[in-house]
Amino acid sequence: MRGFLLKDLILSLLHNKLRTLFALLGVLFGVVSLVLIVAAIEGSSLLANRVIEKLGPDSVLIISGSIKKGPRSGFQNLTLEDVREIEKLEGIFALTYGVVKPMTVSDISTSKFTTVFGVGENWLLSWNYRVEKGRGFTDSDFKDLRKVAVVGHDVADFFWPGQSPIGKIILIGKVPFRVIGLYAKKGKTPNGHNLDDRVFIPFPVFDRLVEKTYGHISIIRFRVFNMNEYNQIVKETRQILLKRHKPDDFMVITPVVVKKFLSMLSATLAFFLGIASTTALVVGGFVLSSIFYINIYVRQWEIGLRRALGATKKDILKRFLYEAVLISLFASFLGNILGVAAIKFTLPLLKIPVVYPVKAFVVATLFTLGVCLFAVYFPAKKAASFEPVSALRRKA
Amino acid sequence: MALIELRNIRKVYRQGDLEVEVLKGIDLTVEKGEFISIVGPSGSGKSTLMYILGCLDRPTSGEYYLDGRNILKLPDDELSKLRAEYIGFVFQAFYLIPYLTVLDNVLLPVEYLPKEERKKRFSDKPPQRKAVELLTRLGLGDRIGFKPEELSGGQKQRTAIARALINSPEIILADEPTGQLDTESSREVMRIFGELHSEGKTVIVVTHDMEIAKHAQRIVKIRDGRIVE
Repeated sequence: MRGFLLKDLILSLLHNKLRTLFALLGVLFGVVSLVLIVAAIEGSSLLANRVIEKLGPDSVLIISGSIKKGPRSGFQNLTLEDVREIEKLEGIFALTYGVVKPMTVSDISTSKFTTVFGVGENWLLSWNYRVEKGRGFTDSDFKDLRKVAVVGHDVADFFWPGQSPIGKIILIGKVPFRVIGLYAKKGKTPNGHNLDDRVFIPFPVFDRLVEKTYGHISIIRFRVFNMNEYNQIVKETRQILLKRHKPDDFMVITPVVVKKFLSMLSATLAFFLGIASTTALVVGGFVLSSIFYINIYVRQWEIGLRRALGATKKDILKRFLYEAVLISLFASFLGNILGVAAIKFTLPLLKIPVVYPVKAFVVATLFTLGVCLFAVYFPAKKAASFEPVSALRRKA
Repeated sequence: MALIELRNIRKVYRQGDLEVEVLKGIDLTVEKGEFISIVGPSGSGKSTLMYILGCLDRPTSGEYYLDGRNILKLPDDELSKLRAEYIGFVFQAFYLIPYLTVLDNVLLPVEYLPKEERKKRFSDKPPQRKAVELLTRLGLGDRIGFKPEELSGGQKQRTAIARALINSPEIILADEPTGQLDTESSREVMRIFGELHSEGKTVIVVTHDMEIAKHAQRIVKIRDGRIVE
C-alpha cells in the first residue's frame, strides 16, 4: 500500500493548491540563491586556477607600482639594471622584461587604439606567444635597433583584413615599423584583457623612438627550474630589488599571492551571497511553517478522522513531514532549473566563469530538504498532538 | 466476558476553574453481536460516551474492558491500534476526505491497520477487491471513482459505512449517523445496520432520535451523564 500513501499525499497537495503554491514559492528563492552561490564559489576558484595557469605556476612576475594601480598606469620604477642583477641568480630561465603603453597606432588611412609593448629578448618565448607567420625577434633586431613589430590577429585583421601583415608598415607614434611576425590567437585573459590586440616591439627601440624611459621598465618576469628553490629565489629577488627600490615601488607576484588574493575575493563573495541565500531560505522556512500552521487547523477534522481510523500520533507527524519532503523536492527541482538560468545570466555579470557544478544542485537540494523538514516539524508536531475528539468536532 | 464492559465511568472536563462532570458513573455491558442504541438529548453526555467507547477519549475514572483488555492502562499507540482493529466509525458529518475518490476513502483505514493484521485480514481478498465488493453491496458500485462532493447525503453515509467495514472490525460505532440525512436515506442506513447486526457485527448507534433508536435490539437511555434505563 506504499502507492496509496503517495497518492494520498500528492492528492492532498493538489487539493490545497494555493497553500502548495505559496509554500513552493517561499522555498524556491532560497533554492535558486543556494545553487547560485555554490556555483559562484566553484566558478571563482576555477577562475583562480585559470589565472595561475596563465601566469605559469613556476613563474615570478615583478611589476612596478602597487596592486591598486597596476602596471598599466605607466609606473616604470624598475630598471634594466634590476634585470641584469636578477640574471645573476642561479636556477632561473626565460628572464624577460617590458614596458606597456596603451596608445594609438596607424597606417596611412586608419588608426586603432591598442596596447604597445616594448619587450626584452625572451618575451614571446617566456609568455608562450607562438609565431604563426613571419618570425619573432632576433638578437640583431635589438642590437641594430631595428624598427620591427610582432602583432596579434586583432591588429592585423583591423589594418589588413584578408591579407598577410608581414612586411606591412604601421606607425607607432610617428615612427614607421615593419611587421615581421604574426602570433597565434591567444584569446582573452581570465580578467578580460584581449591578448590578441597587442603590438610588440624591441625595448631599446621603444625606449629610443616611441617614448623615452631612460632604461626604466614596468614588468620583469622569469621562471624557476626547480620548484623546491622557488621560495628561496623569490626571497633573493626581493633582496636584490630592495637594494635600489622602496618596498612600495614594486610587487612580486607569485601564483601563491594571486591565489590568496582571488580566494579573498571569493570568500567575500561567498559571505555576502551566503547571507542572502540563508536569509531567503530562513524566510522560506518561516513561510512554510506558518502555511502549515494554518493548514493543520483547517484540516483539523481530517487529522481527527485519521486518528479515529487508527492513525498514531507518529503517523500524523510523518504524514506532514512527507508533505514537506514532497514540497521541498518539487521546490528543489524547480529551483535547480531556475538556478541553471541564474548561473547563466548572473555569473558573467560578476566576471566569474559559468560553471554548473553538480555540487551546487546537491547542496541546494539537501539544504532545502533540511530547512523544510525543520520548518514543518513544529506544525506537524502540533497536528500530531491534537486530541482526536476535539479535532473531530471542528468539521468545517 | 462481554465484548465491552464499562464500570463506573466518569468524565470531567475542565474549563478554567469550572469542572463539568459530563459522565457521572456509567455502567454498561455490550455483548458480542448486539445491536444497541444510546439515546439522549444533546448535552446528555452520549457523544462523550461514544468517544470513550471508541477509544478516542479516556475516562477520568472507572474501568473499560474491550475484549477483556483494560484500555485505561494502554498507551496512545495501543489505543490507535485497537481503533484500527476493533472499531469502525460512522459520523454524522460523514468525514469523507474531499480529495480522495469513494474507493480511496474506503481504503483509507487499511493504511492504519498494523501490518500483521493487514496480512491476516486481507489474506483471502486484497483490500481493493473487498472495497469494491462492499461498495457494490451498499449500492455504490457505479460511484467508486467519484469524489465525495459528487455524492448525495445518503451515498456519502453509505461510503462512510463501507469505510467502517473495510478492516472487518468487531464493532460499528455510529454517532448520529442519520443526523444529516432525509427520512428515506435514514431508513436505508438503519436497514444496513440491521443487516450488519444479523451478520454478527456488534452495532452501537448514538442518537437523539427515538425513531432511529427503535431500530436497535436494545435501547440505552442516557440523561445528565447517567444511564436512566
